[in-house]
Amino acid sequence: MIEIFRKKHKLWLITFFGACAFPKGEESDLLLDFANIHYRHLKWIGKELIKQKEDFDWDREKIELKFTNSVEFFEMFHSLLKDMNYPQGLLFDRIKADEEYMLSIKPSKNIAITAFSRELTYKNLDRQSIEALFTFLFEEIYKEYELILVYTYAQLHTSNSQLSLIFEDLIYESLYHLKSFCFIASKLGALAVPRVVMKEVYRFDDLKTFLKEGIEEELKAKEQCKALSSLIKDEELSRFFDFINHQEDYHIVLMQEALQAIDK
Amino acid sequence: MDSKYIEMMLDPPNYGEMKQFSAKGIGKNKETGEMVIIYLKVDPSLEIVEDIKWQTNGCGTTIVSGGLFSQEYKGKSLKEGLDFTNAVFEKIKDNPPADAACGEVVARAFIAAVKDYEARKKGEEREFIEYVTLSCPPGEVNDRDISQKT
Repeated sequence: MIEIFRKKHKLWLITFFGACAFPKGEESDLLLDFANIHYRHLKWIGKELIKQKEDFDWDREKIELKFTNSVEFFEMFHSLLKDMNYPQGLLFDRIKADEEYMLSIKPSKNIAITAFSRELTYKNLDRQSIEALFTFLFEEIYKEYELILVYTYAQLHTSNSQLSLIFEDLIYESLYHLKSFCFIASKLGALAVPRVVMKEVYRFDDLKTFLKEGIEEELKAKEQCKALSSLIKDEELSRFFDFINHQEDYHIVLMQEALQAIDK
Repeated sequence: MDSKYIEMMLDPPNYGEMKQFSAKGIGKNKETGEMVIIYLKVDPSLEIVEDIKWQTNGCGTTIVSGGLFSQEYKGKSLKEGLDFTNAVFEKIKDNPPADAACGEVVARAFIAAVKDYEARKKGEEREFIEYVTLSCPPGEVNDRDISQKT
């Protein structure tokens, strides 16, 4: 079942990043919904693996997305869906039914995609702002993806319900940040699926240390957001990074609550 | 920013895990939590790095350093690899600490991998971690020598 888990992980990422490559609209909304469904499948398969006294990992092959129009994307998406194979069982019947529905969706029109063009242009931003924006997005897209994997792994391995709820909130927050950063990267022509997260990052011995370090990282992320917001001469982007900066404050509160919940 | 570096960030060369390796080393920066793992496949008779893989949770500069250094290490003998590492330390020691740390953490991982290789030759199996020291204030790192994770 670990192979099914890994293939589902890949499918989730391709659907999520594929969605963000499209201009915001009907197709991206639909694909983001599908990506969320894949993510839920992934958690259910992970839970099943743990129930069977197996563990799961976040190993996968490198994913390179380069499609230039929606027809190309849907061809790849459908071929991945057709390649999925599941054993019998209620969970897998549900997953199969979801994927059959996804297979029935065809693109209504062919949309040009520039998310992977590497053009690195964004409205009228100057070169210095573009480079700062690119570096920020590159690092934060990886970081949010890493956080989703770390919190999902931790959530599926804890029996502490309070901790589990906090992890759930942190996952929602990171999914939102990831989506938002990916849409900006897409406009910049610099969208890419992040690199594989190594086991040493999510299979840690000490959750407390991880959370304490995480709080430090959130503080740094706040500073980066603040710096970027003042550097970039674009009102919309500056407002957005200020908004993200404020969200980080509550992440710190959630992580502090998680630290307290460990001892309960 | 050079387009070559942008590509290297988005698709770093030699990136990934090696399942069957001759040596594994970890470089860590205690201040930032950044970590680099290097896996080596070494030709036992010539002690040449036949293949190298590496992974990190680090920033863009660490990614570029990892990509460039891994290309340098590949095909070199372990001794030549260490010489290259020392040359890196010499070059970065006067850089601003934050910039120097990104290259240093990769080079430290290589040193740890070489120590692991030597230990394995003696039949020892343990995890080798080397900590960033050049770019951390003195006194911050106590265990700069090989440490063993339990």
